[in-house]
Amino acid sequence: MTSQQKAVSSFEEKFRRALTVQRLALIMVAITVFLLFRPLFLPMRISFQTQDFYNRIEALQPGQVVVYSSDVVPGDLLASRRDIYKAVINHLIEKKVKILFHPTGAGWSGCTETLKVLTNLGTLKYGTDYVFLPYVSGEEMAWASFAADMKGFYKTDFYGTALSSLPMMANINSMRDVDLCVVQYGIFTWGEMFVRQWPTKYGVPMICMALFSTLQAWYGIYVKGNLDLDLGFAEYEKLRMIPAEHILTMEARNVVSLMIIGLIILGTVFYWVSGVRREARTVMGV
Amino acid sequence: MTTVARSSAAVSRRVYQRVIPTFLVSVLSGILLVMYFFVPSKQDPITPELTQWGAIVTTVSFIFGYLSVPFLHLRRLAARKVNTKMLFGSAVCLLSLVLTLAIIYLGPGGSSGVVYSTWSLYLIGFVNNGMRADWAWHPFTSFRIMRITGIESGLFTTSWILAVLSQLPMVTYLVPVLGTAGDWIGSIPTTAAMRAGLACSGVSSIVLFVRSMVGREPGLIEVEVI
Amino acid sequence: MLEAWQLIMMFAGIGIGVMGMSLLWFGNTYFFAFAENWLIGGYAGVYLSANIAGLNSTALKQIASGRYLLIIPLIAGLLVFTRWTRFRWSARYPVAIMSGVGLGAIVGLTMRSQLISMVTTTAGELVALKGPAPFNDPISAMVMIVGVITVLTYFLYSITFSRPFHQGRGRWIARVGRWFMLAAAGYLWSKIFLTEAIDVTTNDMLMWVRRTVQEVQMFLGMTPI
Repeated sequence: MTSQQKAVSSFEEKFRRALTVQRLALIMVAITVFLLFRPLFLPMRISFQTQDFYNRIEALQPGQVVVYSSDVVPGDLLASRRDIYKAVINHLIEKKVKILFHPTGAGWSGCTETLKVLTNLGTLKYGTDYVFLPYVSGEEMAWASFAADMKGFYKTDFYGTALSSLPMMANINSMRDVDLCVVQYGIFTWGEMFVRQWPTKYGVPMICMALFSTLQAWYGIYVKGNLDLDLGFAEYEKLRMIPAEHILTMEARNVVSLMIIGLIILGTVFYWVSGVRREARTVMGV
Repeated sequence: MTTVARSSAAVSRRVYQRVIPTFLVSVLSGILLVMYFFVPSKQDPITPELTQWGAIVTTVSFIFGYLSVPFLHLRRLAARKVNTKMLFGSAVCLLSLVLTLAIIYLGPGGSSGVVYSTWSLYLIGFVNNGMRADWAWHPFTSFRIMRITGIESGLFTTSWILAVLSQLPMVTYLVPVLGTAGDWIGSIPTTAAMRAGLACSGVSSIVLFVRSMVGREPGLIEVEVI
Repeated sequence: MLEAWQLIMMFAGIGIGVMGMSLLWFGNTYFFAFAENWLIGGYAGVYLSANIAGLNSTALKQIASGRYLLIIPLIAGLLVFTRWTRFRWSARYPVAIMSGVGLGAIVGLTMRSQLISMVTTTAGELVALKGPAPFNDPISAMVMIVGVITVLTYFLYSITFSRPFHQGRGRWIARVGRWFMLAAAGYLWSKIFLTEAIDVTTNDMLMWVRRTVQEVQMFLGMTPI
């Protein structure tokens, strides 16, 4: 190794050792906090998934039935996802559809009253325009049973009222009577479960608010639109022209991601210039 | 007990501990398969019923699981065989559990009340945010391991960089082709790999199903249960 | 606007949350142990009460209204509690019900959604020479079919059938499959290991810092930022 290579090599080693995970975390936190208080309001494009999601809701006709399935808990509804829940539910309300809330999160009971205050549900009539179902665990088996026979699986609504006595539920018995499913989930394996039990079996179109990677194999086949987590939420809020927090959070994503890409490119350059050849431990040569 | 009596007891035990449960798996999955392929779903009363049975059993199992948590911690506190930090942790866990249940069942408005939703947001939700400190390791690991040293690492890193750039609103607005490139990587090669992977996992699900139908998959009942 | 008791809860939550985050800088201390076990206990309480309510709605009320067959899964489910006793073998029965129903509920639909749909969609794209939306061009369709076939070939584990594709003349097929998987892994890595991590940081700071400042400003009668 030449002296110049040795100098670069030791610099590369110092560079790698200097940036510990703790220091990187501090830098990320500092940049994020700064940008949250001093946003740059940078422009953004709208991805095809978000446009499809928006178009599906726009295409709804008054009186159609929508199942809104979500693992919402108070820690999301009142916290970082407040604005997107409000945006999507208000969009559905504007289309004058019947909304059947199907919870998949155990904290659902703490969300019902909050939803009425946060969104325009308070202007609608419960039992006629929307219904809250109670939470039941069981994941795929529960969703399969619900889709096959809604009133058989859930005898009563969230408040204990018989489903058969609610005007909205008069003609809704199974997933065949539903026009659109809006599904939000966080656990990665749930995507294929929903795809199997609802759109595959009953042909009902499904749009999601989940990580695109968990459903991209079925995109266009069974899944007709998606909000790809925070970026999708920001794009949707921009489409709806709502000044919301997710647009703000994209600022930090822009800057911190570019910083990490820069560090990786720098690391690659140092790796080649230094002439250091580490024994490959993986096929990626690290 | 004689050898003959011992072996007949063992056979009997094997029947009700292994053979019958394995047979139950075969019967239930077989019924549902027949219903799926031979009975139109509109005229199928058995699938909704059996899946509801499955949901009920799952719910009771979850209740068992969540009751096991305080049971385990109480037993640990009573035995006092572990170090102080673990005893401290068990005490905190039980305190949090009791307070949460007290707010749900005794608080004003119960689980729909403002006290519960505030508790859930701040004293569970905020704490959950803090516990997800592994977020710092994700970009750090990317920084440490990603170097372009050959075709394969180059493919991985280039795909990664293009995908990240396509998810940055500023970049995709200023240089739209980068957004399209990242979307193409996600929609074509990634989807191709995922379709193939899902097809393989579909095949393995069918193999598992066939083996369970013929009672050759005791792991379905034994691996989970000691 | 929050009331005083809600503000106190907010600061208590931030305090315990920071204790949880201290793992990154200070390791497994008593502070981290407090936060970790506080969260476990809290979630156990939430899920326990939610599942009891769910059991009430999906089983007990229904049995009371005349669906007596549901007593069978209820009793079978209760057998899982025998794991605490010397009759723990009885817990195999509820596991058998869950496994059997679960398998039966998914296998037909898995064939349709994961096998047949994937194959027919990919073949249809190749025949029409139109890739999946929004990339409706022939090159994308051809790349898609090449990717699907090579990755499927890579996953052939049977010794008899995989030898020509992993070691013989056809080993380039498995190599191309590996390239596709690496490209996919890079894309997935970006989604989960970078952008989601950054979003987690941002949402944490949004709630702990920005939203807290806004709530305190509103509580003090000031205009929030």
